[in-house]
Amino acid sequence: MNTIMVVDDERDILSLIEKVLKKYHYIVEAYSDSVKALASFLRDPSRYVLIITDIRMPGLSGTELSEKIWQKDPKKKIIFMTAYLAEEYRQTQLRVAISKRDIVEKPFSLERICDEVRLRLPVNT
Amino acid sequence: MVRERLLDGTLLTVVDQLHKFEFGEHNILVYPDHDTLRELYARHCKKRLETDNEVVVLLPHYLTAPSVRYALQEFEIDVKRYEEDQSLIIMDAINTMFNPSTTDFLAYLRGLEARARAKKKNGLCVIADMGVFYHMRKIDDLVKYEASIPSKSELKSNLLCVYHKRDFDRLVKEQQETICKSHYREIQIRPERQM
Repeated sequence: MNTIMVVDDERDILSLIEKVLKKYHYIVEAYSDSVKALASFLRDPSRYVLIITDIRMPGLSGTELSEKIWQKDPKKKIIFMTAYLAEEYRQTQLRVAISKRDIVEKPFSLERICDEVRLRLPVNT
Repeated sequence: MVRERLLDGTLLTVVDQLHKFEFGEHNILVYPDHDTLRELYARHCKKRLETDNEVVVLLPHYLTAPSVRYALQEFEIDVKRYEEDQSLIIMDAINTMFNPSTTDFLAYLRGLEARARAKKKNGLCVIADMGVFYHMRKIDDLVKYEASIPSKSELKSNLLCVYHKRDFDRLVKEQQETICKSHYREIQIRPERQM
């Protein structure tokens, strides 16, 4: 299954992203708990074609999640979301090698996130 | 820990008790979710700013400063006025607690307390989200940092270290025990549905 996994501890944002992607006929799994998201991924990594994750999350941060995902599948596509782009680079140097092209700064429009997904995946019809 | 210093309840019960704590206490609070923390900020700030005439410092980590301001405004707190007269300070914990070090953070708090006295405020209330240490992957530093702050002092300030439950649960038992022992009171907010 070509499923997009969306992970964000803010349920309102999570729900909005889930709804808009489903509107474009993508198959979406939404998780507000990054630990549960990782468990689902590890059960069946090939199910997910794209991961969209917030960076600052309790339990397991988005960067920790990405490290564990890339340990299993180094080519997995991941889009990161953050409200603190400058701070993330300055304070943590984003310990995993993330391209700035793969980071979407919050707040963003829903169109922006859809554009980022479209760049990486064909629209499901 | 002494039984009277353990508090486990709903948000409203906890907020009610927080208002009764004395100055000089260094306490730990474990919260279940972001909405609960937003409401805690709002209810606690309202009392500390409007009734107790204190300086309030909020150092969120998972919540943005604008979203905290919005939560306070929802409780009819005049955020603009309090920020302008520096009774209310809201800053991302990452810039405050690691800029450049935790040692400087303690000096920063002492400076704030002196400033509060000069402004004829009754004291200082600080709520710091310790999630920032997890984000920086400095768990060992977190344990040392908590242990370096006295659990009870003569200061006219209250320091409330808040932990998201998922973060607190990541610690091994020994770390949890060391951190709890470093605080005067242990407080846990239960989600309403679990009570």
